[in-house]
Order: sequence, then structure tokens, then C-alpha cells
Amino acid sequence: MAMQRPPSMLQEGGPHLHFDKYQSRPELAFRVTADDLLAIGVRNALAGVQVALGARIWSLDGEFIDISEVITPPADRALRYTFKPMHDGYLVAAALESTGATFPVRGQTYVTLQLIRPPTFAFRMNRWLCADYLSGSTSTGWPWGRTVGSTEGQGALYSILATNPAAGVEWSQIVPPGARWRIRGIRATLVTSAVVANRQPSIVIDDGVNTLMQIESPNPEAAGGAVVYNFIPDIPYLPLLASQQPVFLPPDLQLEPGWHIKSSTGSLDAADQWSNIRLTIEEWLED
Amino acid sequence: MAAVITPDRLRSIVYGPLPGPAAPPPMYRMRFAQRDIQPPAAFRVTPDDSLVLGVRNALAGVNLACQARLWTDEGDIVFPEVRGSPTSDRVLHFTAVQLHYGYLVSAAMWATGGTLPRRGQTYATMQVVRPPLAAFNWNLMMAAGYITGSKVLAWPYGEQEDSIKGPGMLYSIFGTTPAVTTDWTQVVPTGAVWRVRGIRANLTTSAVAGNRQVLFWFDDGATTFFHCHAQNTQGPGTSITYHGVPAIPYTAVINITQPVFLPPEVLLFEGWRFGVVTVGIQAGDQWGQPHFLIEEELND
Repeated sequence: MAMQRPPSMLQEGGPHLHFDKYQSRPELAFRVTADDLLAIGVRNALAGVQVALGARIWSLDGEFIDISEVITPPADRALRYTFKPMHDGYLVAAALESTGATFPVRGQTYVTLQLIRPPTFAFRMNRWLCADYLSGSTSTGWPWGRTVGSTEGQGALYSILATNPAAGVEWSQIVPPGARWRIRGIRATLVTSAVVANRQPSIVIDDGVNTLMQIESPNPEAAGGAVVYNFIPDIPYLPLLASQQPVFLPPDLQLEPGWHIKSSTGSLDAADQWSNIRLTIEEWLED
Repeated sequence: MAAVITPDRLRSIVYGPLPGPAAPPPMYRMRFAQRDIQPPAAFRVTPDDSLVLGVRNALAGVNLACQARLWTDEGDIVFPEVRGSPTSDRVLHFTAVQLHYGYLVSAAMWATGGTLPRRGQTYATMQVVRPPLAAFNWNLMMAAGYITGSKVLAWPYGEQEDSIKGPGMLYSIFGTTPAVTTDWTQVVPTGAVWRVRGIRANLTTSAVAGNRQVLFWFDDGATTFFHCHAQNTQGPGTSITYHGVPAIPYTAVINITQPVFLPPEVLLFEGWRFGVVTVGIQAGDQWGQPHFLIEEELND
């Protein structure tokens, strides 16, 4: 037999909660004054992104003071701070979200939120709030936001068309400042001239100066050829098939800012031409 | 229709539209107590307590600052602060800041100045302890994690992060060029864990007859774990660059480049080693300066 539900706690005559409206005690750590600043740190890689701040202070008189700001960060991946002054009261919430028509994906816009004291050029950080990437539907904030490192988890995927070099010149792609790249694949075409010689394409990783790694194609390319090289993580060495040449890449090849990934072709002729250089990249902001 | 409960009418349920925001009922506004406040007892501290900062650092020139907020019994906020430049030897060093009578309400440690670390370079912990500092009595663990350009170590709302969970810092590192007819060895430095992501080294053989067989080896400082050998031998009077690459298939020498398979995840602790052994090495054989692609985390 079903048990009878107890009467609602909110019915007349039941036990009641009563709030003391004059002696509330919020969490002391988030008592702020006009000397405090909310510092918003942003690293961004996507042009057109807008970051919106919304914060709420509960004044000592019991009023809510809403604070808002919209930041349009440059897409240069550099760390910049924006400061918003606080008022006398308790900070009860603060959040950052992307707004406008251009939404980032994870790996493109990394933000931090903290309470600081001046001077702003070398501020004294004293209350940490959160750090995370923004995306179209995920924001970050305090309370209940996360502190996540910028190189953790999934990065942003990019399909990058590198610049075609001049004839007889190798192609090269540099990792931009403030980025960490995982190379997920490269496809490039080498058309060779009629000058007789076997060309030996390879991929080279350097740290900006010194070669760290060089991986050769298993087969050379003869004169008058047009071969598409597919550099693929973990692929076994295979023969040329329908003008497609698979070439091995390490499964988790990560590069720091300023490092290069580039071609190096043995016996490259002055009229040989690299073209259609397409890189699939996973990128994090290197903080 | 939604049920609406207003603060002044908790004893009844009101059905109807929401009250307009411009007309709060009387006595709606709250005011905060400013006297006789009782902070959380767990964070009561005295001069017997110290805020202890532990740092392992691998980057020269890093400057760290730590500041706490302490609410004194008189109601003032004071800011115990310490600044310093940790050594880049990856060794764990502690710094202690004596506290006062009051309530600790927040603390943070961050990188300052022109040299900012990246993840994997500066690992820090923050805790409240009691003396003796030589073997302190730990009683409040507050935060642990890597400090970077914009990410700080903080309490509350910071994190407790292990030093080894990835990703680490990527380094392009040169080994030492060995003497002629000598193989090279690289030791993982104290306080580090390395993931070997690539090895590159050139061997130029003398005219002395004989085939040389190259093997990369990994050990714990004494006992070898495994060898990774080149598929092909190298004859006299030649120069071949060996590339140890994770997961690369065994293949022939191509254009004086010899790929050598490495396991996809070679993790080495401090004091562990890797190197090369050249079976059949002959007088006059010379290894060039080896070059490594390393991912490093601090071994805490």
C-alpha cells in the first residue's frame, strides 16, 4: 500500500525558515573594497572574438551592484589583462563568456579571473577565481568554475594551407608565438622537372635553429614526376600507390613556439615545385 | 503557472505573476553584519603557524611572489608577503612565512617579472604548518600545481594538481659530444621525469674495416631495460645520421638517414639514462653531438 505523503513544509502552520536580513555573514574571503580590482587575463587566437564579463557585488547596504565589460582581444595569442574596479561589499559571482557573432572553440580563447591589488603593471594577486577556455556554449566563472591549464585536454583543430614556395625552394611552416602544435597530418605535392635525378623528400622538425628530427619518404621521386606526399601519424611504410606516397610521422608530434616543420628534399632541382601544402594541426595556447 | 515564494511571505504559497523588479516589498533589502562576525574556525591561525611554500623549478630567472590575506582579530586585513627567485635545479625548496593572530582568508603564489614559466617548469605547493620547520607538523594543505604566465597557485578555489600528469614542457636539448671511439650517454637530471620524443645523432666511421651496429639503450642507472637497434649496419668511411623516432617502422637507410624505432612512450625518471652502444666500434669512429626532443615534468 502506498504511503501517504507528508504535508508540504510550506503550508500554513508548518516549520519555517527565517532569514536574518540585517546580520548576514557572506564568505569573508570575498569581501572587496574600492582598492580591489577584478583582473581578466586573456590569450586569444581567433579574430573577432568578444569576451564579456559579468560580476555581481553585494554592497554592505544590501544592494546588488552589477559590473560588466566587453573585451575584444587581438588574435595574437599574447597575454593581456583588463582591470575592473570593485566597490565596497562582497563579491558573490563573476563570469566570463564569449559574446557577439564569433564564438571560439576550445583551444582558441583562454581566460583567467582573479582579484588583485594595484599597481596593475606588477599587481599583487591575492584571490584566485578561475582559468579555462571559452567556447560558444561554455563559459567560466566563480564560483563553480574550473582552474584548467592551457595545454590540457583537447586543442583547437586547424586546416592550414601553407604558402607555396618558389620553384626549387623547400616549404616551411613556423609555429606562431604563444602556440603549441600537435601535427596531425600533412599533405603536399612535389612536381619534379625534367632534369634527371632521383629526389628524396623528407620532413624536418627543428627548434628554430637545429634539426631535431628528419623522416624520409621510403621511395625517391624521379624526374618528370608528380607525387602527393601524405605525412600521417603512425602509418607503416608503403610503396607509392596512384601517385600517393604515405610517409610516417610520430603519433604525438608536438612543437613549441618558433619551431619549424618543413620539407627537405635531396637533389631538389631549381625547377621542382612544392605546392598544395596542407597541414592538419591541433593547437593549444602556450601559457 | 509557477509558484512564487517571496521572502516576506514564506508562510504561504502565492500563485500569480512575478512581482515587478522596481517594487520590492518592504523590508526586502538585506544588510550585512559588520560586528561579531565569526569566520570559519578551520582557518584560525596564530604566530605559531607558518605559511610554507614549496617550489621545484627548472627555469632560470623565474621570480615568484606569494601574498596572503589575513583578517586580524582587530578587523584589519594584513597581507603577509614573500618574493623570491627559486633556483633552477629542480630540487624542492621550502620558504616559510610566519603568520599572526587572525583568520587566513586567502593566499596566492604567482610568477612575476619578465621570465614566465610554462607548464612543466615551476611546480609549487602551499600549506599551513607548525614548527619545527626542519621537520614541520603539517596541518592544512591548501594548493599544489604548476605556475605559468597567467595561471597561479591559489587558495581557496585553486587546485591540487600532481606534478606528473601531462603535458610537460618541450625542450630541444643537446647532449655532450663524446671523445673519438666513444659512445654517448645522457642522464635524466635530478628532479625531472623525461618523455623521450626523439633522438638525433650522427656517426662518422673511420676507414678501419668492419661493420658497426648501432643500438639505443635505456636503463635505470645500472640495469638496462631494453635496446632499440638500427635495422642496418654501417660500414667504414661513412656518415649516417640516426633518428630515434617513436613508433617509426624499421626501414633501410634512406639518404644517409637511418630511422630507429623508439617506443611511443619512453618515460624515464631522474637518474635513469639512455645512450648509444656501437657494436664493432673502431678506432677513429666519431659520434657527433647528440640532440634530443624531450618532454619534461618535475618529479615530485
